[in-house]
Amino acid sequence: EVIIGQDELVDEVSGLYTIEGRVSPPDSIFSPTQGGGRSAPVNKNTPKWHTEITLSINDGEFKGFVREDGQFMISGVPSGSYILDVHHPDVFYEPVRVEINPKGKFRARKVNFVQPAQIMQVAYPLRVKPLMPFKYFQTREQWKITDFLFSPMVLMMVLPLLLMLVLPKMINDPETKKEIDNLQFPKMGNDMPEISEMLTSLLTGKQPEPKEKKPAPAVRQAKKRKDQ
Amino acid sequence: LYEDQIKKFDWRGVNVGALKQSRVDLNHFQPRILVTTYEGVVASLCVKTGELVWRQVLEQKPRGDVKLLQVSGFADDSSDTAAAPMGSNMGFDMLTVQGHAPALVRGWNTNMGALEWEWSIMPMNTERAQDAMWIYSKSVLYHVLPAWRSHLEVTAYFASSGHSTGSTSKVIAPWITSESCTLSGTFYVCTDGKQLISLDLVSKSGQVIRTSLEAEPKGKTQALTGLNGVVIVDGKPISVNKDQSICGDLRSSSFAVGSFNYRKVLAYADLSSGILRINALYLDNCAPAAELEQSLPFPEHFGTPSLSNFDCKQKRNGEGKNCLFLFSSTSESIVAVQHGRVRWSREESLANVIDSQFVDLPLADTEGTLENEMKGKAGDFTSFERDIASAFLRRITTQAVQIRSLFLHVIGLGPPPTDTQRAGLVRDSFGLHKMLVLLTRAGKIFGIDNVSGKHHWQLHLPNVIGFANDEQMRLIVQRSAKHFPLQPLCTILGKNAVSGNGVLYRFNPITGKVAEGGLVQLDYRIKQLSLLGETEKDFLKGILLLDASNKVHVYPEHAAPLADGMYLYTADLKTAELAGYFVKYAGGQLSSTHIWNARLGGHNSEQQIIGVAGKNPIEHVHSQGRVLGDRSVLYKYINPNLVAFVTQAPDSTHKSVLNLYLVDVVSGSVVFTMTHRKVRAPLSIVHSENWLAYSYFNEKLRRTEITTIELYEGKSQANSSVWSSLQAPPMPLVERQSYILPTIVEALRETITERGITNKHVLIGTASGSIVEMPWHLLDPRRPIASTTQGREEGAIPYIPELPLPTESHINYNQTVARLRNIYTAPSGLESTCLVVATGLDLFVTRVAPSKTFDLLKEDFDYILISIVLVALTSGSLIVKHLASRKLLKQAWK
Repeated sequence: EVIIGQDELVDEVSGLYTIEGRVSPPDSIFSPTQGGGRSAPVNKNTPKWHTEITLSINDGEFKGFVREDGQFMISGVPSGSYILDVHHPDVFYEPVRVEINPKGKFRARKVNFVQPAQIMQVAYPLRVKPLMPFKYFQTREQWKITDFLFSPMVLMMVLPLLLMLVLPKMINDPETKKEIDNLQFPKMGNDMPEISEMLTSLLTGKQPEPKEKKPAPAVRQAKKRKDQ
Repeated sequence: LYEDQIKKFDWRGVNVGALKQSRVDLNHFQPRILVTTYEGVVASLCVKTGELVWRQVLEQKPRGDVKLLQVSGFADDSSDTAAAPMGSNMGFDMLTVQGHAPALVRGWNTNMGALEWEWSIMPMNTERAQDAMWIYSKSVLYHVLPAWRSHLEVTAYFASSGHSTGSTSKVIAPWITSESCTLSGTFYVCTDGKQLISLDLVSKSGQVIRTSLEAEPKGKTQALTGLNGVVIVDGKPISVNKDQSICGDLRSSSFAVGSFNYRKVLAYADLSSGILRINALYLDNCAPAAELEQSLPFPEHFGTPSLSNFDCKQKRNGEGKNCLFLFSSTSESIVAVQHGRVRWSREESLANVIDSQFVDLPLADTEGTLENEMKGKAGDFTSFERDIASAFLRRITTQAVQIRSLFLHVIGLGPPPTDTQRAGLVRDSFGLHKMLVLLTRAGKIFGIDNVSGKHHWQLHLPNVIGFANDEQMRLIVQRSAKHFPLQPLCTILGKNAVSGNGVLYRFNPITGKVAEGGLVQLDYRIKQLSLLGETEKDFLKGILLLDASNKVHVYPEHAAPLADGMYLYTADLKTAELAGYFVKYAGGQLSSTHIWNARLGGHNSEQQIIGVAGKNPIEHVHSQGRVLGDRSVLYKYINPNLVAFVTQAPDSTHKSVLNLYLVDVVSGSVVFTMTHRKVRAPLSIVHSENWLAYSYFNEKLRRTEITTIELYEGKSQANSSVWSSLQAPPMPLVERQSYILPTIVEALRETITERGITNKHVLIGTASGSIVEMPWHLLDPRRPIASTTQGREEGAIPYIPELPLPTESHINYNQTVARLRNIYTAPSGLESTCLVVATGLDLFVTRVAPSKTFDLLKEDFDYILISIVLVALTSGSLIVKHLASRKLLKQAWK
């Protein structure tokens, strides 16, 4: 049989949309001054940085890949509210919430899980920038001489020893002996009035006790519990 | 985790999935193997080793279903001009079409797996688009959309830009049906009685071609990839293309087309009696290509092979030795054959691990002999004197045996080491070295070293599948390696693919060999299974099976008396009905009694069970209570029979409703219920000790939340020794709290140790493939809301709604596990350490120490510094002693 007619079927997109944007390379978070001082974990000259990035929506239900110039698109997404995650094994990209209303209008805003009603718009088409490299590992404790010297054990042992060595030599000088005697005398005089003052304050302290008792029974606040 | 611990305790296996389409190209400037898989992965493999060069994981089905793989240099008519899209300076050398609504067309750079361009089309009829097929010819991509028993619609697009050529052809073809038609190149071929009816969809004539057959085909016809218009009918290639002749009287189970000596070659491979035979013919004159003929023994664990693709390196003095044949197999392996032998293989069934066990390794031979001596003389304690005498005699005997074995070993006359000891499979001092036994969906079982990742053995069980309701096969350890000289024993329980009856398979997990008869076909269907205690004779844990008619069976049969007094429960996922049974053993017979029933389905029975979580039967609860701020003790509700059931139903008022029930499955009493509204899957549950944690997605606030529940008895404990579900225990005090997780949770699992002293951590597997170790005291429902310090419990942290996920808590750092599905934990010999395996598309094995390694010296223990200090102090004291004696001597002379 032969072809009976040729119909033109126009592709009509019904209810599905395309999310577009651009991802910045990971090396843009390392400034040249920083790069000179240390070796960056992501080499800025890597030509295949975009192969290590995947974009996913709804737990991998929709996925996108990044092209050489950083552009990406995720096709066939129905209307709704989605969180677009950008995954790189070594660099953190901030997720973006993308909302598409049934008429096809796009809105992008920051992700806020604690207060979802708070809206902070971001530009659409999306510009996803790297924030910081992931820090997966803790730092080992390094042995430093300063840590050793300033540890409490060393301070308690060494400082009294130094005092014991230094003070007897000072006392040998007769001039310093006189000075010490003079210093000690006023101290003795000062201590006596202080003791008497303390005694009088203790006696007078009994009188305001009934006043203090009144505010003592404080009412405990009931703990509020967040219910689902 | 510290930086010097990278890959020290962990390893990762990266998989791609079962092979779907492949292209072997040995004459590219960079030889490569490009594959697509049934898991929705596009990857490149190294020709020499089979390792991954790059991999891109697409979506899951149906969106990630790869419909077409087109590689430059492989088109039938060499019409694959790489057209570059506007604004791009590179073409493509691989094109994939995935999904159907929308269909995504992508161009890739195969050197590094980079996406070059992509476009998509959205069909008007979504349901019919599932049957769509694609043709690539002369830089044009044709979308073939069948309307069964009516016509075909063919739409043409420019391949790299997606621009339509402007027309859709409708080809009237009332004979087409789904089961009888296939697409071979540009030819649409259908079987009709004893003839083939074909259409060339690209040609202008639209002529119907009829080809007669010798007999009516029995199976479905398949396309022969690489040739235009050739189909395989019952293992025999038939050409419907007058421009492409095929050699007659050829029959095989798998064919592939390639080139050799600059001529087109048809290769075919068959397996018979464990020997794989590869033959080839030149397509131009049907002469045998004798250089390509190979025979090799094919291991049984690979299953049945199927030739997928092959290529030969072009050399002037061509020999068959430079050809590489790529096979897929029924056990989901990818096998590369070269030089008449298996050059490498990839075990892609590990992309679908369904159960996992860490099995202890056996003792070394000398230690085993010692234990044998100890065990043999342990029964004679009739009197005090004989006790002392026999103990003394035993000690002397064991010492003599050790000396003798050492002496013989030194001389070289000792008994030869066993196979397991020779392979290094010996238990280490801390019990950290174990055999990781993995059961996969394809019926393949692996014995993998959990320290090095080496595959020690593998087995293949054909025709065994999982149970109904997506319940997978089970891997059970019936006997561990503790009972020397008895060998450890594992059993797999599954279902026969044909009859639906139960299947048991028993094997030695250390050697991978069949044990105690191996495969046992049961004559009933398995409804529920349970594990009994150990028998006295051979330390074997019997398996209790409840069949579809509620009869009870025990395997092995001599363990049947131990089933007396057992309680079982069943749960019907669809109707959400629970039932409890009591097992009795009387008069040499087992019987079950139905004792309780519970219906969680609601009055309309619209609720369905989506999660069941019991407690780990091997866990110990070390602490019976919790110390409060006033120094009193709040006792935990530790009920080993408590099981959590989660049901879900669509609701007209609220979008979806999630219900949680805590049920004592011995008495059938419902201990606690909770309802969440506007909540949906993915749901993950973890249930341990006296607490429960589950994560879900909050539809209203559009975030992932995790709810934790703790159960307490109160200030007094009813029974401190043994829990009894039948004595009407008091209803527990329930504490609960919810937290926000800034990620999607795929799996939850708690850490477990030998004695339960170590802190409990919850391992959270996220959708991005990370595993986060979350301390339980961050998930504690008793975290105080107010910040008052009065009455605060010890170590309680104030409540913060959103849980932090610090990257230092990622136990797999940047080694992400693609499509993370499940996490398994097991205790090790050390109390501080828990062994972890995470499965998904990839495999990740590691260990965690939730309370640090308190029973080990830490890894960066400074031996050097301590040695220096010790040597310095010792030498200093000696020197000072010498100096002091000299000083005393001088003083004595004065």
